[in-house]
Amino acid sequence: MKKSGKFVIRVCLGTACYVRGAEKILHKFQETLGIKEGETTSDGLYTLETVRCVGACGLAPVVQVNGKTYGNCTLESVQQILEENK
Amino acid sequence: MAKILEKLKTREDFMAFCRANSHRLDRRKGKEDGKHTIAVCSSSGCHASGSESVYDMFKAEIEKQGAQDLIDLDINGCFGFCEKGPICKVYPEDTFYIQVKPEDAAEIVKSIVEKSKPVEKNLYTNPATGEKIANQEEIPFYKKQKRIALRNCGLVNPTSLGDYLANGGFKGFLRVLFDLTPEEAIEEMKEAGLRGRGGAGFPTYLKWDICRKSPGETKYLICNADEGDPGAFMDRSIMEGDPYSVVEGMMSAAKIIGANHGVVYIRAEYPLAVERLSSAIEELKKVGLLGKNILGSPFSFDIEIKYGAGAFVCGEETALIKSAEGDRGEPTVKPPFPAQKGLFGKPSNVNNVETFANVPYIYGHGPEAFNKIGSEKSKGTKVFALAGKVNNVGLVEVPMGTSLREIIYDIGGGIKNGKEFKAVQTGGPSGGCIPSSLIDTPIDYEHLSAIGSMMGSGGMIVMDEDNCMVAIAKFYLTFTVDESCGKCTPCRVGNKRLLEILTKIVEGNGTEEDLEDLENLSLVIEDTALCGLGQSSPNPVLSTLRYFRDEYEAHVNQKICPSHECKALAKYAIDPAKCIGCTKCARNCPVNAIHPTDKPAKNPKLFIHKIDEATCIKCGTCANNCPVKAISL
Ligand SMILES: Cc1cc2nc3c(=O)[nH]c(=O)nc-3n(C[C@H](O)[C@H](O)[C@H](O)COP(=O)(O)O)c2cc1C
Repeated sequence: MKKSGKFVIRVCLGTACYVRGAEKILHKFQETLGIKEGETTSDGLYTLETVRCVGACGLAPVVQVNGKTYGNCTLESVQQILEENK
Repeated sequence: MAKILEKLKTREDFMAFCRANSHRLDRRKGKEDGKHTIAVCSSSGCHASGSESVYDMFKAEIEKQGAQDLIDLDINGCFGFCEKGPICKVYPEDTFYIQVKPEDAAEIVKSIVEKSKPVEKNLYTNPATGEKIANQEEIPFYKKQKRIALRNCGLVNPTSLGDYLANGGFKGFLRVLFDLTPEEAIEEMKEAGLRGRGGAGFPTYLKWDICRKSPGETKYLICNADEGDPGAFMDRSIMEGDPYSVVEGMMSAAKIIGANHGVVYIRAEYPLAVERLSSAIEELKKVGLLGKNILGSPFSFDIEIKYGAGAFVCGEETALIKSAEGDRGEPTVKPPFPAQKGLFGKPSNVNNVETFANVPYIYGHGPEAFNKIGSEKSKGTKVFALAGKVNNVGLVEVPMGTSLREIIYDIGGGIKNGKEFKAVQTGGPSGGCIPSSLIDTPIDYEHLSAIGSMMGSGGMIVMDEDNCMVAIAKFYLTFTVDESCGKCTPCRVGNKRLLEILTKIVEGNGTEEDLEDLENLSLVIEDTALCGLGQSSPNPVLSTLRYFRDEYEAHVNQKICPSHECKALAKYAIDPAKCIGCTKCARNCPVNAIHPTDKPAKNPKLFIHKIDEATCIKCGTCANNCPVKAISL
C-alpha cells in the first residue's frame, strides 16, 4: 500500500464525462502536478486518480477531491480546484 | 406517520393504515391548507451540487423569519433534471426552483411569507423564448415525458412509507397477495407486456413462470442493482428517490414465484441508495409488511442486501449470483439458467431495479393501463440517462417508441453550444453509436438492435461534431478490457487486441488492413465469448465502423482526425494573417518548436512565427497562450 496524498483528486472518466472532455482535464492535472494517474506528488499533497462514473452525469465533467464534487469543470477549473485544496 | 403500536396483521389493519396516511400528499398535489412545504431534492446528483447546505439554510431561514408554523421543510427524491440542481419545490403552489444556492433560501422563504411572486432568479428560463417558467409540467424537459417507473420520484419523501402509501403504494401487492392466483398474476403480467429493463428485454412474465414452475422448495428472488454502465444512473435514482416501489415490486414477484428470500445485489459505491433501501426494508419489517405470514397470509418474505464492488461483469446475472455466493464474480455457461439453478443452486429469478419499479404500477392500475403505452412489441416506458453534449442532461422517462429526435431535441433541448449533432450512443459498453441520419428511429428493443445498438440499461450519450468516433470506440474498449473477468479467451485476449489496433489508429499508425482486422476480430469475439460482456463488447467498434467508416479511413489514410480530438494526429498551425509576432508562443513552447520566419508582422519590427511540425509535441500550450487566437488545429 502506498500512502496517498492529503488531497485525493479523482477525475471521473465515465462516458458522460469523457464525452465532455474529462480526458483533457486529466491531462491538465497531470501536467500541472507533474504526476501520472495513481501517483502522489513528492510533497505528499496530491494524489491523482481516475474513477468510472460517480453518477453525477448531469454535472459532467466532474472531479472529486476528498469526496467533494466539482461539476462542470473546465481547464481553468484545474487551477481553482488546486488553489482551493492546499 | 400515524403511530403504530402493533404490527399490521390483517388486510383490514393495512387498509386502516392506508386511510390514516391517505392525506399525506394532499399539499404536494396542490390542495391548499394554509401552509406550505419546501421540498429539497436529496438525491446524489443534487447532493453533489450542494443541496444539503441548501436544506440547512432553509431550516435556518424558516426559523429566522419565524415561519415554522407556516412552512414545513422536507426532502424529495430525484427530479431527473440533475444539470439544473440543486432543485427545490414549493407546494401547494408547485413552484419549481432550479440551481438554488444557500444564499437564495432567504428570498424564497420571504416570498412565501409575504405571499409575493416566486423568486424569478431561480426559475427555469425557456431558452427558446426567454420566458420564465414556474411549473414543472410547463418545462419542455418534462412535457413529453411519461412517468411510470419514476412516478414517485420527485413527488414523495423517499424515506416516508406514508407518502408512498398515499400515492397508491402497495395496492398492487395487496391484489397479488389476496386476490390473484399466481397463474392469474402471471397472465396479467403477460398482458401488460413488461420486458426486462436491465438490458436484454426478456419478457418478465415468462421468466417468472419458468422460475415458478422450477421444482424446489427454496427459491430466491434477486434484484440486480449493480448498474455497471458508466453513464447510466436511473437505477440509483429510483432506489434513492422511491425505494418502496422497488421493494413492493420484489414482494409481488416473490409471492408469484414462490420465493421466501429476496436479495438486493447493489454496488457499494451507491451509499445513499443502500441507506434508503435499508431503511425502507427496516420500516416494512417494523410494520409487518416484510417477515413471516405477511398480513396474516401464508406468504413470508425477507430481503437481504448484498454489496458488489462495482465490477461491470457482476451485473451479468450468472456472475452476480457467483459474487453473491461469495465467490469470484465470473459468469457461468447458460443453461442452466438461474431460473433452474441459481443462487446456492436453487431456482432464482433476477430482475433489474427499473423492472421491479414498474411492477406495482401494473398490478395497481391493471395491465391495460401499461399495455396501452409504448410500441407494438415494447410496452410501457423506458427511463434514459440522457447525458453528453445535450442542453438538458438528466433522467428522462418516455413511452417506448419515442424517437431519438424527440428525446434529444424536444426533451434534451438540442445540442450544447449550437454545435452539430453527430451521434448518440445507447446501451453503454455493450451498445452502439447511432448516426444523425437515423435520428428519427423510434426507440424500442427491436429498432435499436436492428440498427446495431441496443437498449442496454438506458444510457444515452449524445455526441457532437467535436467527438471522434474512433476515440469513442477506443474509450469503450478500454473499459471492456479493464472490466473483462478473464475467464474466456475471446474476451480476455480478443478485446485487448481490439484495443491495441484502435490505439494504433488514433496514434496515427493505422493501416487499411487494421480496419479489416478490427472487423473480423470483432465478429469472432461476438460469436465465441462466454457471456454477454464479451459477446457485446465489439458493438461500439462494429457500429462506428458501420456508420463512421470515413472517420476511420481519414485516420489511417490521410492521418488526420476530422474532429481534431486525437492528439497524436493534431497539427497545430499559426495563421500568418492573424499572427502579430509577439513571440509569446515561442517563449512558452516547452520543446522550442516555434521560430520566427523572415516575414514581418503588422508591426514591421516583429516577425510572423511558424511551428516546426517535426519537433512539435502537440501540447497545445501555444494555442492557449496566443493573445490573438492565431493558433489552431
Ligand atoms: C456485462 C453485463 C452487464 C450487465 N449489467 C447489468 C446491470 O448492471 N444491471 C442489470 O439490471 N442488468 C445487467 N445485465 C443484464 C443481466 O444479466 C440480466 O439480464 C438482468 O438483470 C435481468 O433483469 P431484467 O429481465 O429485469 O432485465 C448485464 C448483462 C451483462 C452481459
